[in-house]
Amino acid sequence: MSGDLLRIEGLTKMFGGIQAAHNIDYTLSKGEIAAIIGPNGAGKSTVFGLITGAQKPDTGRIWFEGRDITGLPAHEIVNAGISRAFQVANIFPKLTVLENVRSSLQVRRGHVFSLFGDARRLCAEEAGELIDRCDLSDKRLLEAADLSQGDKKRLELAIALSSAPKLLLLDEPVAGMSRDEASQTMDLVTRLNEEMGLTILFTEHNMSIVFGHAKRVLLLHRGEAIIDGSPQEVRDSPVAQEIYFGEQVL
Amino acid sequence: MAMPAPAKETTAKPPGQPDLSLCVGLFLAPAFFLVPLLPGEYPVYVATEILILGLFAMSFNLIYGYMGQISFGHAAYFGLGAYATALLMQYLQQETGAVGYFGFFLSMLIAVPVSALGALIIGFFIVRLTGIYFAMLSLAFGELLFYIVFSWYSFTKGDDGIQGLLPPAFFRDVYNFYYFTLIVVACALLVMWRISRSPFGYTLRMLRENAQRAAFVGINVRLTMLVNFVLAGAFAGLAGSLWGPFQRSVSPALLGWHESGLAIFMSLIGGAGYFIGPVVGSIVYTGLYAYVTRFTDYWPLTIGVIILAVVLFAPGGLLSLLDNALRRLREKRDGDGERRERKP
Repeated sequence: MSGDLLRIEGLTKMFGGIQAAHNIDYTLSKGEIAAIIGPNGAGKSTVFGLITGAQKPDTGRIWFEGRDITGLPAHEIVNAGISRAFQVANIFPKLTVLENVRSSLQVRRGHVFSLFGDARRLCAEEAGELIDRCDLSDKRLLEAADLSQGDKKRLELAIALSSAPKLLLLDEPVAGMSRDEASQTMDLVTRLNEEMGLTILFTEHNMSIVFGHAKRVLLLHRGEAIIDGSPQEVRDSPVAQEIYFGEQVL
Repeated sequence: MAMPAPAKETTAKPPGQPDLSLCVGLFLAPAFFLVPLLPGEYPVYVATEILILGLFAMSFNLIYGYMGQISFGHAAYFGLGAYATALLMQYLQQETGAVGYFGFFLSMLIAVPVSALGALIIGFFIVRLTGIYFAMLSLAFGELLFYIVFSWYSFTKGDDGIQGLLPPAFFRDVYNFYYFTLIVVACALLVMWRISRSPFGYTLRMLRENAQRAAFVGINVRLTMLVNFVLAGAFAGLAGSLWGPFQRSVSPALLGWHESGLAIFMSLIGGAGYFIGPVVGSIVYTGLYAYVTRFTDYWPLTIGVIILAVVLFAPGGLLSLLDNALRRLREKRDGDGERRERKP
């Protein structure tokens, strides 16, 4: 299928004796917004790590826009168009919000080895727009380390977006946020998907967020793909209820 | 001398507040210009050494303060540059024992590519590691180069070093050579200043702050580290090229870990988080060394106490004391006004 943005085939990864991902097949089309769910240790973060080059799969292949990206280093995968935000906000703590975003934009524009350009001018305007879009306008001059947990996650989203991705992977994008912050952030994520056509794949523990925003849900359990379907299909599946929702109730 | 203190607080501090660096720089520039007005040649001699070692420490701080890695072997590139200049000067020596003007400048210029090449070859291996492994590998390579220079008698004269390096007549004058050094160092610092504010400078800060995120922003971490390592080596080589004509000799000790320690001390004393910090550190270290050793043999004790005091009471270096004092003043003036943007 050439219309797929992302195609995963037979992805397997072992950590020691633990099967973090086992023979996972998955495809994502352009413009989709999908979620990966599963109990702790189901392999969600592992799948993200494998897609983005943080780890190399033992077997299996990953194609992005028809190009085999299996095992490429992380920075090349970013430049191919896959960007990610981590479960724990991963930012540049001693730089200001503006510097975080502006510098990331400069990387995307190929200014990494520009020795004599003026870093404060390059991409400053775009950085401002991106910061506005992520609701951080009034905090742009703060050091990132001083931000609240929610703002840090939003900053990381801005950093991830500055790479101009075609596919955005969000690992628990609203973890640690207040209810208001969470809904604000998910609204932003939805807008990115609907208005800009950005393909988004996220993981989340909060089921109302998953079912409220994802159009497709993949359930992982012990590294295996159990169900891949609409939120309704997953919700109604007895297997899913047993391994996931059953556990949650307990 | 004590072992260099490990990177601590200073690594986490951004090379911020260049306002302060700029102010200190604007104050130091005329001060250095006027040093020759002091009585006697000794202050000029000391100031020359301050500048050369200051440039060397600044080059080290590209790796430490900006990129967040510590090198225990940075003197290797300082020494490589010094030897490149010395060997070529010796080769181009005229019958008078001195080297011509063209030969002099050529000998100095050659130091930069030689040191850069050395840093490229060694850096290729070192940038595969970070943290303590980076530090240890840099030390190992530094000592390796030291022993090569130390043992290769037929080429480097080994332990004897290379003596009797006579620059052309004009540069033999202490004052002329001082101003020449001042110009070279000032130009190098201007270039480094531009680099520190360039996108590349910010890429280095990103590596220092969070190398993992940097990779996931699309930065080729190793390549960027290597480029910076070569840059730092080139600037160290430039500093080294001034050393031979200044001292009229070079010796293997210039490549040793002791010399590498100087750059670390100077950066820590002045403030690795400040652009101009290493130069301030060099003023304190070299200046004290020049005058304290006149009165006491207990130099290691003296500098040990100073470094202890800096690490304990001003972990961001002396400039951080000044910085904090200025900030308190500003806050007092503005009430508890809002935070301003740092403009690194």
